[in-house]
Amino acid sequence: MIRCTLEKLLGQKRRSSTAVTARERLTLVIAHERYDSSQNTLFPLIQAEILQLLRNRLGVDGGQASVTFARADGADILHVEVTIPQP
Amino acid sequence: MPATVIVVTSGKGGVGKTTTSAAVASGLAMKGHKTAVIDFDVGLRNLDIVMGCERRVVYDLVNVIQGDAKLTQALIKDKHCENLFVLPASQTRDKDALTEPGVEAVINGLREMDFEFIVCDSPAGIETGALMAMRFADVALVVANPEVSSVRDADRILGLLDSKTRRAEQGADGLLPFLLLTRYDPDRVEEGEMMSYAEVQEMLRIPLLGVIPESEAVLQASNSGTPAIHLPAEAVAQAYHDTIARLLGNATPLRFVDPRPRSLLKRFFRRGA
Repeated sequence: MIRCTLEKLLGQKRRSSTAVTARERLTLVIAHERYDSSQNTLFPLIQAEILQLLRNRLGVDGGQASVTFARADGADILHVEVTIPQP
Repeated sequence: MPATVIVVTSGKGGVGKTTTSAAVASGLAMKGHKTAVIDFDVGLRNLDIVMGCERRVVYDLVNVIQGDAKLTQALIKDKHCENLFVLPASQTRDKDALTEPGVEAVINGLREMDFEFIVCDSPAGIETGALMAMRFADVALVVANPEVSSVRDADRILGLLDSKTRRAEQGADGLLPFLLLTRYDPDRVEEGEMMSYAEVQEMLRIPLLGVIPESEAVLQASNSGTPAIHLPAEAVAQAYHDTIARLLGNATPLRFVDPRPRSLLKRFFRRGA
C-alpha cells in the first residue's frame, strides 16, 4: 500500500501494462490463424507447380511423383518423392 | 446511382453491431440518403427494438423471401427519419429460411426501389445468417472492441469477407473492409489497460473508419428505442456522425481518442479494480 502510494507520487506506473500483453498474444494467434487458413489454398497451388516443373524439366508424369504436405512435431513438412525416368 | 450494400459484422457478439447498424443507417438517412437496414439475425431479432419499431412489425425478412409478403409490406418506416426503412428479422428458428437466392432477390428488390444504402446487420458467429449478411456487400464495417477475443474474431471475419462474398469471388473490384472500434476508453489506453486504436488497426491491417467511445448513452438510447446518433450532445453520436462522414468520403479527424486531463488529486485517488 505504502509502496503503491509512493510509486504513484513518483509518477510510476502502478500496474504492469496488460495492453502490451494483449497485443503480443494477439499478434501471435492472428499470425498463426492466418497461416492456417491460407495454407489450405496455398498448398494445392504449390503441389501443382512442382508437378508441372517435374513434367517440364524431367518428363516425369503424375504416377512417378508424389507431392505431399504434412505436419509432424509442430513442423510443416513438404514431402516430394520422384522416380527420375532413365533417358 | 446504384445502391451501396454495407454489412455490419464482427464475429463476436455484444461488440455493438446492432447499435452501429442503427446509428449508421440513421446517420445516412439524416444526410438525405434513402436507406434500408436489414436485420439478418434470424431467430434473435433485435434491430427492431433498438430502433423503436418493435410494435409495428407485421412481416419480416423470411416472409419476403418465402413470398408470403411483398417487400413494400414488410419495410417499416422509421419514426425519426424520413428516408429510413427497417426490414426486421423473423423469430423463426429455421435458419435454412435464409437462402442465397432469397437474400439476393430482397437486395435486388431494394435496389429497384432506389435505395442508396442497404445496411445489413449481421448476427454474431460465422453461420448462415452471418454469411448471408455479408454475401452481397460492397463495403464491410468490421466492428471490434479493443479486447483480445473481439480482435481475434474480427480477423477471422476478414478471412471470410475475403473468400465467401460475391465481390471476393468476382475478384476484380474487391469488397472494401473498414474497421470500426467501439467501446473505446482513452483513459484506460493511457493507463496501459487497453490496446490503442493504432495497435488494433496495425494487427487487422484494414483502414480505420472510426473510433466510438465507451458511453452510458448507448444503454439509455436502446432503453428508449432511439438510435444513439439522435442524442446530439453525446460524444458517441458525434463519433458516429464523423464515421458516416468518412464513409461518404469526407476526411474527418478522429475525436474522443485522447484521455481526459485529470487533476493530481483525482489521479491520486483513482483506484482500479
